[in-house]
Amino acid sequence: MATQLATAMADLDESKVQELVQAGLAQGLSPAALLDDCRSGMTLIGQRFESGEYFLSDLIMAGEIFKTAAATLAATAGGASGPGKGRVVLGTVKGDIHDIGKDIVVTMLRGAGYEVEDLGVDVPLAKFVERVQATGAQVVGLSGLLTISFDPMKETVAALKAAGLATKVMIGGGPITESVRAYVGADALGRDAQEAVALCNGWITAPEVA
Amino acid sequence: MMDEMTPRERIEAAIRCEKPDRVPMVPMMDFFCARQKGVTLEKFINDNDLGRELMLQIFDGYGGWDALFQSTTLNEFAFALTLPMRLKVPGRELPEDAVWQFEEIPVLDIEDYDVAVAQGYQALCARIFPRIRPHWQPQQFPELLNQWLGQAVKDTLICEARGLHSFTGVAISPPFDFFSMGRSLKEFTFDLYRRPEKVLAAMDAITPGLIETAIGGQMGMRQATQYGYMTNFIGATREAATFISPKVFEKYAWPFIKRIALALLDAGITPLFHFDSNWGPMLEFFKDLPKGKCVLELDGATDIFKAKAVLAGHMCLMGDVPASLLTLGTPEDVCNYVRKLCEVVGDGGGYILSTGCDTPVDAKPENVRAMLDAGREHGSYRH
Repeated sequence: MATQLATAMADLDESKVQELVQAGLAQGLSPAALLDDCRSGMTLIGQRFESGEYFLSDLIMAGEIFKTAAATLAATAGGASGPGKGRVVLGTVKGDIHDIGKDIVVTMLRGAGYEVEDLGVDVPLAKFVERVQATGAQVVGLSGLLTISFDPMKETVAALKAAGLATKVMIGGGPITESVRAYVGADALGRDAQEAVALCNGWITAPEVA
Repeated sequence: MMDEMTPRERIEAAIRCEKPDRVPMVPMMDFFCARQKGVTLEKFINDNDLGRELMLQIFDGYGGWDALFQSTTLNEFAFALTLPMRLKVPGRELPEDAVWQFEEIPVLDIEDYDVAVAQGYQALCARIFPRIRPHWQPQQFPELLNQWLGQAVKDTLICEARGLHSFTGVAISPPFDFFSMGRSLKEFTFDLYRRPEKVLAAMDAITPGLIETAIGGQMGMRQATQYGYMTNFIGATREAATFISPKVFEKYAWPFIKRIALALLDAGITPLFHFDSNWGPMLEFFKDLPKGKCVLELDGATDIFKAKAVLAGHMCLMGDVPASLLTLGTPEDVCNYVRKLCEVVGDGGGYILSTGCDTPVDAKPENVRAMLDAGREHGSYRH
């Protein structure tokens, strides 16, 4: 049974979410529990997106409401941050400055409980390698909207392998198809943010039994 | 085999949803021409005469098709007329041979919705210009506009002199796209949730100015040349189902698209809906427009075969050889896809073969050739 807060989050009711977060804190509820409610709301949002009820604009709004709520909770004494479900490094590859799709994936992954390092746009391959080494990320996400992003993606995948990193690589973006995934050598392609979350869940939260 | 129709007759028959002698071909192709001829994109966008000549050389080198998608190569100024966004260009912010890219940052404030309501489209554009092109002085605008219009007339005349029509030219963005670009996708999305009435009022307020710009520009071309452009370009992405629900579309986007299209039709101009991203759930709306009068151009993200099922006999479809197929596919893949397009989308007429949006700069030349060869081979209606 979803809490009122989770429901308000899922319904994208911005003012109600803010109200309920404040009220919850005033009642002495723990920030971590309130954040969990927001995340439950994000899970419902993901499901509504998958079922075709919600569209990308709804995910963008969800990200905004979630971000504000999470910031309020993090600023509260004690904070809301616990250990994440896993670490993901994400960025738009070298030569491409498009960030809309990437930003939504970042938000949905954070909403799902992952620690995400967003490297921004036009990211050189060395940066991906360096950040994966530094953070121990289990998953790398490469984004690109232009066909010219295919080669930088391929080179980044090769560089991660050459550095001996066993991280999984997912790619996404407008022109990305299965043949692009094969060309790039990525482990998987995510057609939307919800698929990206599902991929991470599969790799990190519920890893295959050997 | 001899053609029975002229390119103009062929294209016009397809627009009427009739069956021409064969499927007309109008691929969108610009940066690809520069890359194939070894010219940097910086040179290509800054020298329109050179750009036109390179497009014509590629046209000839690939055996030609039915009309140039556009006869004037786009430049930084042309984009400023249609897309309220900052632009990174090759040779300045980007390497000299890089494709330009738009910056998704707000150039319009919330108060600009009120400006739109109070003063209309032209006044809003005057405010936007220095924000998106800070390296130009606002007083340069009339001179830049005259240069651009002069270039467009010159290119159209040069192409017409060799019997080659310009498929499209004058371009506008519908109000939803316009404000989404100006505010940035994120901020505009928040606006739709937080101040929907303000957004709606502003979109309503700029529509007459957009129509005036579209019709004025097209009529200017017709007066200056014998033919002008065959269609008027209406470019949209952000009101597709990739981004918004059909419900939001119905309230915030479609009324304005429809109003603009009907106004163009009243003026005797064919609207070309250059609609990128996925429009699948929105296809039914296009039945509101008169039969055989408009073109819906898709980029591969909409299922064009489904579009055919919905709009057959009602609206001419155009597209949609996908960018990734032209870049990474084989000539055989391309040929198979074009054959399917001709057989299914071309069935009964009402179809123009084209690339899904632009031919990518890094398309394989053998794939571009395969697309055109397959169009000639499988596009015939004389069985």
